[in-house]
Amino acid sequence: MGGKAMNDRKTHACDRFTSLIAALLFAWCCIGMAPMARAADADALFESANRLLAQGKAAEASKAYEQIAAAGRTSPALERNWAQACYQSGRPGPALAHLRRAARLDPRDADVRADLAVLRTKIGNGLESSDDAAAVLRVLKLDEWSWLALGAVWIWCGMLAAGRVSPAARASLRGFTTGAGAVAIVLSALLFAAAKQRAGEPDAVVLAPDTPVRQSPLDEAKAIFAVPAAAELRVRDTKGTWLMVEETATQRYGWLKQSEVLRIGY
Amino acid sequence: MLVLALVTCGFRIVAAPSFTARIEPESVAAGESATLQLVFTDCGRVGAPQLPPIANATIQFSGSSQQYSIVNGSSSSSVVHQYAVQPNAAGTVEIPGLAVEVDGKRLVSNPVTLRVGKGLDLSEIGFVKVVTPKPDCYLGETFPVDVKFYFRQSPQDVAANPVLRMDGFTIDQQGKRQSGQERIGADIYGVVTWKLSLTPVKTGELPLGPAEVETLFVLQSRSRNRDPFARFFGNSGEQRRLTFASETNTIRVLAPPAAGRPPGFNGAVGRFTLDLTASPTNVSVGDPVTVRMKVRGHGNFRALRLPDFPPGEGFQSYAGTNSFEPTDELGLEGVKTFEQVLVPEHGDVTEVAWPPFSFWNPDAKRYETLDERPVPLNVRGSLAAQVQPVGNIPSASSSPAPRPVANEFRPLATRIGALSGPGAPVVHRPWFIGLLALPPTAYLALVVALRIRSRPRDMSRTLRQRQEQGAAEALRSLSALARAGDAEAFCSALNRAVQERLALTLGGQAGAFTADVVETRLVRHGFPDEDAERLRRIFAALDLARYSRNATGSELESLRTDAEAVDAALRRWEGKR
Repeated sequence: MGGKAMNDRKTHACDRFTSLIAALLFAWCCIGMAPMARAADADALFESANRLLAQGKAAEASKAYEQIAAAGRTSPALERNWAQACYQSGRPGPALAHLRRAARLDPRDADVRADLAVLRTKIGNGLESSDDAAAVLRVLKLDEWSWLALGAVWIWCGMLAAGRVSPAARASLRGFTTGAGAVAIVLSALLFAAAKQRAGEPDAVVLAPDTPVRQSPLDEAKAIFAVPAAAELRVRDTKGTWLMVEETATQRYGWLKQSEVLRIGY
Repeated sequence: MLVLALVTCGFRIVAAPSFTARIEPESVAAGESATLQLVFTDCGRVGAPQLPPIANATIQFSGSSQQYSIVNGSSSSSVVHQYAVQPNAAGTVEIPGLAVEVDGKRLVSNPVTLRVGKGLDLSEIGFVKVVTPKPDCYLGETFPVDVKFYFRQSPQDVAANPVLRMDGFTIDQQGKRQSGQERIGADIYGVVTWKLSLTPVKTGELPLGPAEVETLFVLQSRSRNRDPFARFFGNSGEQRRLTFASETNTIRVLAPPAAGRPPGFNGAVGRFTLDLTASPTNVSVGDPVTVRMKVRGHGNFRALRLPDFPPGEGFQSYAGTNSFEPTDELGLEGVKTFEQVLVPEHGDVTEVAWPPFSFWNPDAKRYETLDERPVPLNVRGSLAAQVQPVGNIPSASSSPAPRPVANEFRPLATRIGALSGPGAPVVHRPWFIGLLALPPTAYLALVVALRIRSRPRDMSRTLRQRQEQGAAEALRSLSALARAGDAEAFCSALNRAVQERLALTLGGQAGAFTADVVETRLVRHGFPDEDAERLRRIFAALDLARYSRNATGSELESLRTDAEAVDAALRRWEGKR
């Protein structure tokens, strides 16, 4: 009798364990499948938006791309196609902002760079001059430079600390420590240069032609100059719904409303 | 008061009114002015009469005054109206008799004449010269010109810029005014120099000048220097604005010869060198390449332009820019940088070359051509990567594509790729800065901690060095003390040498060791018996010395020998341990 009860308890425990495993597997599948489902949805939407653009329905395509990005996630390919849709629907400002955003998301993407050059030429902003230093910095994204520099600094300091704690380790690691130090310094310098380059890039693009730039963040403030559509601006400050912007070409600055520009972000 | 009024009225009744005119001085030099006075005597209050137009002079009312005088008991009053008379030219200024009606009577003044002599000889004050480097030049050649104003007496003011009259030249640049001194013959002149750069725009014998310089001088004036107050305050001269003019130069302007003119010559005149660079040189098809051409030298940089980049070289070219950095004041020398963005259209492009640049060298009197070596390029990319119009997707089976259209967007992306959320770069986030700062901070903390931890060891090392020093000194002193027979001092030094050495060897406090230590801590741990026996003898001698300080020199010498042997033995034993 006692043996039977014990067998029953074992069977129950085994069942509970099996149920738990099954539940965990189900949850894992659900959690894992959700992004895949979202990605599949995004792929389908992307394809349909591309089809609309190929059919010449640029405005509809632009809305379809916007729908994909509404979830707050984007990609260089999405931004590039969206830029073409905006340009074909007669909105050069958003087109330029989307291409700038795509270039930030993937600076290595030659298609994005080529499209950016073409668009800037078409809208009269001219081509940005490029040199070897800029090409080197473009090899990685700013975040990638950041993580590399961080890793190198950690490794270097780790080696230095090991050498401090153990004189034997210091002797054996001397060459590696020097090398790691050099790499850390070079990567930190490159990170600084990349961050400086990013700081010099425009942050916003003007949407409407002849947008007035005001002396102060007030509706009744005097307009000190006007910026054309698709003018590229650097944002120096914000106050409420107002942005203090600087025209990259002339370095003039003033205030305009956030709704009058499209922020590049990322 | 009443009496004075009656007297005045009485004299008025008897005095006859008069109206006279006088001019002072009666003769002036051209450019100087004189004063006309209209005097009304015993006419009461009379306003200033309006003068008719006077030939060869400009007359302006300058003020009135009233005078009373009593001469030999008879009084008179007069009103004087003054006018400044400025002659226009040498000759005479005739002021006719003026008729004025006073109290119903018509009074007529006497006519006056002002004689105006010859004006100033400006050459005695200063002169202007236009200095050119050579009498002839070439069309489009920019050359420097100096306009120099020489003067003997310093002017109060010199106009900012001279007026240079010319035909067929354009002023490119004007330098700052310079002041100095120059000796001409035996005279030293003050000089103000204006530097200009001119470029002839037509050929032939072209006039250059005169250059006119307007100045303000203080001249000694005959009409004013009688004023004692003015002389007292040093203002004895008259301010005059004078204009000096130079002679007219003639410049022969030639055209660069047609014979031997290179096909790409576009009118550049000067001496130049060219430097061609391109960046980046390792690119993909469609990437912009910035080509920079730096033209250095001497010449007409303002009009300098390079030949256009020819189409059909495998590049899409865009409008270029240029900038000029002068290295001299007039912009005749410097570096002009031309920048142009080229976009390789296909991967077959291996270099970028610029068309030759030709110019006329006026010094060598010949055409010269600069043909820079091409800059090699590494252009990556296949047909698929080439710039294509939207929607035109190249297929593998198609024949080599026609020239790609670089002013169209690349084909649409067909895959959306990995999606990512928005966010500022990590380098701008505080936690990243913390992560970056953490390792160096932790390392510094470790260094500090290790330094603090090693401090007691350093202190014990210092103490040990002191003990070593004390033991050695005590041991060294034993020999002299034994010879001197000073048993008390000897025993004290011996005790110190042994105790310090034992403390160094066994650890612990010097002075705390007794003879027991030989058995308990030395012999049991392999200390040699012979040396242990010596140490026992030393302890015994030291115990004995507490009660009896009498010891012979040989005993002390023997103890010293034992002490040295024990010291050496303890060192060896410590080393073995």
